[in-house]
Amino acid sequence: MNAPVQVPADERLIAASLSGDDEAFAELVRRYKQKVFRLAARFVRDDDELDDICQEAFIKSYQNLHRFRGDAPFEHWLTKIVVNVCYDMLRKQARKRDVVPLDDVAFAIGDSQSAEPSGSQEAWRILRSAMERLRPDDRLVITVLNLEEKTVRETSLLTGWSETNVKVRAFRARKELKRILEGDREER
Amino acid sequence: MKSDKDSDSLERLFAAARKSQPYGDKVEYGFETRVMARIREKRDSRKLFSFWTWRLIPALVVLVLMLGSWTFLSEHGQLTGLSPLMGINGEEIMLVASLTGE
Repeated sequence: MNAPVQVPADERLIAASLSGDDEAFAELVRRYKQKVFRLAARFVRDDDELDDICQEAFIKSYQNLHRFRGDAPFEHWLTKIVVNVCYDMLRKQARKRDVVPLDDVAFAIGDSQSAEPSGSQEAWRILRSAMERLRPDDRLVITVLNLEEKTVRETSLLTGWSETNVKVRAFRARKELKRILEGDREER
Repeated sequence: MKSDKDSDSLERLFAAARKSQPYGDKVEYGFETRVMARIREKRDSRKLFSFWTWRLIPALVVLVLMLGSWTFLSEHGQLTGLSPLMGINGEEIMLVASLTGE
C-alpha cells in the first residue's frame, strides 16, 4: 500500500524559502501560478506582458516574504501583490496613453467592431477592448468585483480602498463601461 | 426598464467572459524556472554590490580623511597667506583715504 504523499503547508515552504531553499519557493510558484495567471490576464494585452507581470509579482513576493505575517492565507497576500503590480502597470500605461502606436488603435477599433459575442472568448475580447478604454481605477474595480467575483469587502482589502469607495467606484465604472459598449454597438 | 436591460446584458457579458481562458496554454510552461532564474540573477547582483561596498568602505574612509585634511591644510594656508595681503590692502586704503582727504 502506498503511503499518502505529504504536501508541505505554505507556511513550511515560506519558512524554508526564507532560510534560503530556492526549491521551496519554486514549489510555491508552481502551486499558485495558475491563479496568478488567471487574475493578471484580465489586466494585460498579450501573453508576453502576462509573463512579465506574473514574474514581477512573484519576484516582489519573494523579496517581501519576510513581511508575510501569516495572519491571512499566503494566497490572499499574493493576490494583493498581483493586484498592486497590475494596478501600477495600468497607471503607467495610462500615462503613456497620449503616445499610443497607431497599430494598437487599429487593433482596438477592429476588436470593438466585431459581431455579438458568440462564445466566452468572443465575450472576453469585446469586454477587454472596452475595458482598455477605462481609467485604471475603473478597470481594477470591474476586474476584481465582476470578473473575479470578489465581494466588496474582499475588493476593499485587495485595493486598500474603503468599502464605500469601492461601491462608488464600481457604480461609476459600470456606467462608463456601458457607455463605451453602447458607443461600440452604435458604430457597428 | 432600459437600465435593467443594460445591466442584464452587461451581466451576461461578464458571465461569458469569466468562462473564457484569458491566456495561451504555453505561457505557464517553464514559468517557475524563469522566475527562479530572475530571482537568482537579482540576488547575485545584490551580493556583488554588497561585496564591493564592504571592500570599498576602508578605501573611501581613507579618501574622505585625506580630502578633509587637505581642505583643512589648504584653508589654513590660505588664511596665513592672506593676512599680509590684508595688511597691504589696509595700508593702501589708508593711503588712498589720506590722499583724497576722506
